[in-house]
Amino acid sequence: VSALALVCLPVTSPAPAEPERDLTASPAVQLNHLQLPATLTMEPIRSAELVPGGSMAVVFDGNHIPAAPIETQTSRRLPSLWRMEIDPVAPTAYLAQYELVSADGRVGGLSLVGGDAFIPVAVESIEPILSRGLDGGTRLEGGVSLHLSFAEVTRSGNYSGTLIVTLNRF
Amino acid sequence: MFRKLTAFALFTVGIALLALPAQAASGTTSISINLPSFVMLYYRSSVTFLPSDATMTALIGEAANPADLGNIDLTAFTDDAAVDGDGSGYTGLTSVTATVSNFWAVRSLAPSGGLTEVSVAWSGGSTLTNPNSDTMALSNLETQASGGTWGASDTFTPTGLGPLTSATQGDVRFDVDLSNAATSGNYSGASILITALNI
Repeated sequence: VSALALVCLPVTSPAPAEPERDLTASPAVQLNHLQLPATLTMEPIRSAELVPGGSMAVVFDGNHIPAAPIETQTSRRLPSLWRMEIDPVAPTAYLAQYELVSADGRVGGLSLVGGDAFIPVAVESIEPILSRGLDGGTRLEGGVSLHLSFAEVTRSGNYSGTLIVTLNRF
Repeated sequence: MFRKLTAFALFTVGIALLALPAQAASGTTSISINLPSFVMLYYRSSVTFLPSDATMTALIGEAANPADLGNIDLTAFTDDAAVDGDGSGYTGLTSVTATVSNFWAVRSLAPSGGLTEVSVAWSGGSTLTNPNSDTMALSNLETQASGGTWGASDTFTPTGLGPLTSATQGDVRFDVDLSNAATSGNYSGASILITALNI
């Protein structure tokens, strides 16, 4: 599962001539440093999220289990996951792309530490915003909302993966 | 000015979608989250047995009601027709097994390698009593998960939180002693405690 976001910066002055770039060189070196945390532990899923009604025991008729009250999806919002210093006057469009790979190598989710369970996760991009740094510089910030679905999950525990963030400048 | 800026921005978007990125930066973040162990129990708040006439007939060992005992030859007008029987049909009334299918259901999350256990026990008495103080003693309470093994408890691999049709369902059975139930009517007073937990 991947997600992307595109942001265009309006032009406030004539665009300077773009220097020629060697596309065979590592592009990550040429773009300003993308800052994001090395590790991120999200707030644990609480029982109250699974059972909004709070009751862990429900009367049923022996044949039809009530549709309520278990929720099998929840979300975590990471609005300021990454940031990068930018030149605010350059005529530039940025495209943020995201891909989540589980610790055991499966794309699109998180895998159980010490097990083979897998939580599918949909990555939704949060539109990047411009902000002013402490040094007065302009920076671009972005993040994601992660939508976790554990309807098919049978195992509790810690689930992990790696979120790959790629910021393209055009 | 605004229109010009908008037009340029849209133009930039169009170019961006067609062009290869001029520059790119990437990074990774290791993400983790904890999913808690969880057990959700669905149960019956009460069970009422309303045995039919055919069920009661079978319990006392007869094939039909009324029971045709056939002809008897009597040699005197005062002979005994012997319809009082020998009582053998009543021996089963001391231990009638009541089996309640789909008495409970569980949706659960357990740690890797762990199981979910459901156990049953009498709670607050195991005797049913009617207003005439006649009683039915209940005993040998057991449960089993679907396809499992009968016992005071049973374990199973958790099936997760959904879909609903994947919940593990279980049955309960116990013996009923009807031998002291001399009068008809409602008998009540026993209760079953169901416990579900991850082990």
